[in-house]
Amino acid sequence: MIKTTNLCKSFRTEEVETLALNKVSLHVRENEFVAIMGPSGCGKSTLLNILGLLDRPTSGSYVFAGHEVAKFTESQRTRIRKGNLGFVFQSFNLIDTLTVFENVELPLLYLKVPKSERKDRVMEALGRMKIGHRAKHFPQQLSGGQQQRVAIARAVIPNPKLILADEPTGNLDSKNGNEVMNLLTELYQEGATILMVTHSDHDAQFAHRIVNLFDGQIVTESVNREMTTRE
Amino acid sequence: MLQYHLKIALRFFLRNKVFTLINISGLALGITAFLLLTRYVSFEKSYDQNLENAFRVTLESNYGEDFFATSAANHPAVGPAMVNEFPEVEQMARIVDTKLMNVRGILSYETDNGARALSNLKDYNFYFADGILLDIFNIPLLQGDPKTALDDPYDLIISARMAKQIFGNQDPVGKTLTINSDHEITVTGVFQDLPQNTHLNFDILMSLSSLDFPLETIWVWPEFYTYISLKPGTNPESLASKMSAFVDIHMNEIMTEHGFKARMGLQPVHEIHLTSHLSKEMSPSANKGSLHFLMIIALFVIGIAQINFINLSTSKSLERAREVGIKKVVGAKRYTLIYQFLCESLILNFVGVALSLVLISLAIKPFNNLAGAEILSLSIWLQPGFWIVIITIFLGGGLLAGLYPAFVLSGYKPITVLKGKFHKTIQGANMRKALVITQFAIALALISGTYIVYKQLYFMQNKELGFQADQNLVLNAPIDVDSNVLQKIKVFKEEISRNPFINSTTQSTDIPGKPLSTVDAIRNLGEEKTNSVPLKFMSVDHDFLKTYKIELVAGEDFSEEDQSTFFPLIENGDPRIHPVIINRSTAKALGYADPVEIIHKKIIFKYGPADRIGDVIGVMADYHHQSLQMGYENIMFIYPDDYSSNYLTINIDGHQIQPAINAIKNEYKKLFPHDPFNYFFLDMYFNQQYNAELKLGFICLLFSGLAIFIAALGLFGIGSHMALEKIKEISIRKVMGASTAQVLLIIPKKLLVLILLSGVLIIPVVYFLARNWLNGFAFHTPMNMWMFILPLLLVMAIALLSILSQSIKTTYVNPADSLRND
Ligand SMILES: Nc1ncnc2c1ncn2[C@@H]1O[C@H](COP(=O)(O)OP(=O)(O)O)[C@@H](O)[C@H]1O
Ligand SMILES: [Mg+2]
Repeated sequence: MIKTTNLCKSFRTEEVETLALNKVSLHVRENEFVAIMGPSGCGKSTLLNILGLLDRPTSGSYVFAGHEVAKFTESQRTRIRKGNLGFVFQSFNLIDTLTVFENVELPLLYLKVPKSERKDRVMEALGRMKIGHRAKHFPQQLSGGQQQRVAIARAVIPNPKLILADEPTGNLDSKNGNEVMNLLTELYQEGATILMVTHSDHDAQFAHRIVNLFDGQIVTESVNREMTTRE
Repeated sequence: MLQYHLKIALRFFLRNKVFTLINISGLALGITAFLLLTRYVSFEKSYDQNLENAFRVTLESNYGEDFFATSAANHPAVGPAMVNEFPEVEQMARIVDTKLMNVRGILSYETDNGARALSNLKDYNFYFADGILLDIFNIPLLQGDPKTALDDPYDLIISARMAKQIFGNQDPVGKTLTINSDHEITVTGVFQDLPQNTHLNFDILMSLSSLDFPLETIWVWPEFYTYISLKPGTNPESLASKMSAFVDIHMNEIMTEHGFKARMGLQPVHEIHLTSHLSKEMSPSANKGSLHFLMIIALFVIGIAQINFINLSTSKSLERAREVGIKKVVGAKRYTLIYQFLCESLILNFVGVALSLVLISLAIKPFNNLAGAEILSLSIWLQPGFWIVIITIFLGGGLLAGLYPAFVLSGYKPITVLKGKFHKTIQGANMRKALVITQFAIALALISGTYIVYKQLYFMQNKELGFQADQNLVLNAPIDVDSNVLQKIKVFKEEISRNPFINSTTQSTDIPGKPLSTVDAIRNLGEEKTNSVPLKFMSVDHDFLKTYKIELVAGEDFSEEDQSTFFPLIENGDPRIHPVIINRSTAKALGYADPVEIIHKKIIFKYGPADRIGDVIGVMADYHHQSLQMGYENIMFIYPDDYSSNYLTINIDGHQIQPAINAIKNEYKKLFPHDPFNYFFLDMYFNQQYNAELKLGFICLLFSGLAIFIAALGLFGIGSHMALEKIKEISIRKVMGASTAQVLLIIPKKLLVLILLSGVLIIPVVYFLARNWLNGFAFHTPMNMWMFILPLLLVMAIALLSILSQSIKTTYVNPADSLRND
């Protein structure tokens, strides 16, 4: 599903040039659960953003679902993102001015899903995340764990092939964090492909494969036995 | 989708009440100001617009070498001759002020309740006219026969308004007006009130044939406005080119005899109000420059409001970046977001426009008062043109001002948002700076402009005029008089001068503040006519200089003479020599730098049809006979011939005004029982000349105040966002130990730089414009730095106040609160 070859990304500020990704070659198959780990500033988010088509690499090749997307423009990337990719962020990134329902509804709106169908699907997704009763509330009225569940509902509602999560438990206590990890695992078991950036060894144990990044380079890749055996 | 956007927009507005309130009130005020000002300007431009085919025949004459004066009025023979000789001229009408025909007197009539009312004819706009005038100007006759309304001598028609004023509810036709208790004139018709947007200005018309003169043959009496209408399809230019031959044929003899040249021109009637500034205009023309000025103010005010909108919207970017980023992540295309932001902008503009309509309805009365005309009425709501303007403003403003923020806001790359770095890359900050500079520049220009206009007004109203304007009370000279009038006036002067509060009294044909109507030429005795210089004169008696405290710089004042026998042309076989007093400018124009040298030199001036010889007995200092817009003119005083005075000026003790007036009134009533007693104060009368400037000044003041208020609103809004952007910096500084006072100035410092920058940009422009405007006044206040520095300081103060109110809030936040979620 994802294949990158020698992916590089550099940021140029006035004085310095930072090489955030250095020749990253990564292959992710469909229905894999991959955790990306590494110290702060090693390029995890940068990688995830490129893989999630939010950003574009400086050089290298990136084939997503059979398309070479490395040179895609923003609007081409938007077209692919739409419906195919779901994002979960550390800071939830819900829109304050929209209710829980409306936040989750947003992707369907842009997919031009008819209204009645939208309603059913949103309520179903919220029910699954056990926050159906909060549909009419605004994000600030919810706890962190609840907000992240809304964000996950929003990420999964278009039934994306790929879910990208950047430290999804980073702002949560362990109980809420576990709940989120369980939800992701469920999605994985239902057939989704999941890429997750995390700091936490505990969270990484949920993944199928762990990619270790250091200074923009992949240093080790390891298959998670526990996970494999669980399968 | 629209419905969805509406819902989201409304929620956004409700959550950002201050933002929304500032935006909407700014827009509403800006749009209101714009609509009112443009309304006023278009009213001024609407004068006589439907009269495409009508022209006024103007007269240009020269006396000296290069002294040309163009008059709006012409000789009475011109119109009839044109109709006879030019087949393309369809109709012709002449109209002339009765005052210029020496119609003076008391008008009396029976009122509604049978009582007799008296009034001075001078107070009416009373003209002699050809009946065709009504045709040329499409003035409907409500009563009477339009074909013959002014055909016969003493036919008289009055406006509907005047009919109502004089006769109340009685049928005016057939009623009589009495002039000087011996002439009874019957009203033969009533015409519809003149529209407000015409340069014509009359309430009563009497047939021109009432004037017992052979008008068709008179080519030396330039007091008759002459209008013609052309046959359809005529090219006015080709007619105009024939005018010079026309003048030659008819006036050659007169021109040679009197040594002057004349030219005639055709002036489209629909251009008169805006472009014509000739001598003898029937009503004051608009000042085109002022109208442009008002249009600029209108654009400025609405510009400031729209800039507010842009600035506030883009300054919201911090808060909206996340929304944009997320929407894009989940699949929003840029155009959907642009569409969303445009919707918001249109909604705000819609509410702004709606509110401004309410404001306009409320402003109708005060606005009309200010404009001095019924420009606005509720009927504007019925005019499609008005709605077109409104819809244009709504769509134009909503889309234009909405587009930029929409592009900025929708332009966020989702990546920057998700990385949480967007606070470092606030979009549109430079554009916003540029816009803020523009706003400041506009505000500065308006304040400077207002300040300069007021400074000039103050200058004009306070400069030494060269005569005493205050404490001078002016009466109409009595008109219901018999052969004893001169004696009676003498008695009147003597009697009231006994009163300790009355200093002196004088009679004169004109008074300062009233343009001198007798325009002619003067030359040294023995010189050619071509060496003449222009001259205006009036007759005053021996108390004039004393009463007006006009300084005599050489020679002496008039001594008392017998007015009744004063003016024979020939005396004992020789031409009579008239004692005259000239002003210094005239002495200089005649070649005498030292006024003493011209004393008892002889001069020649024209009075009526004849040249007369004058003996310069005195030279007075130049005084401002008219507003300071005008330079000093050549003015000459002659002693009154017989009884020709129009005014009595009485110098009174400023502390005892009422007793003085009572004494004057008693005496006047006793001596001139049939004359209405009206008086006014000369200083007020004189200052009326500044009404146009006062109006302009007031409008400037009002609308620049408004503009500044709107701009301050915007600053207030932006200030709160700048504060928000800076909140982290402020917090960190506080953690590091900065005091509240130290962090307080972080935000305003930047702003002051912007203000200075805008000053650098705009001050040269204002300087240039102001210099031009001031140069339109012969006497003007000198320009100085303060005209620009004070406005700059004022803008800074206002900006600081609106910003400080916001940054104070920021500086008191708990640093932990703003640092925590980073
Ligand atoms: N927009 C940017 N501009 C400049 N440097 C950046 C930008 N984004 C990330 N970086 C740099 O790239 C490197 C990797 O960043 P990031 O991928 O966010 O690390 P991680 O998520 O692993 O903590 C860091 O050194 C960071 O400073
Ligand atoms: Mg990261």
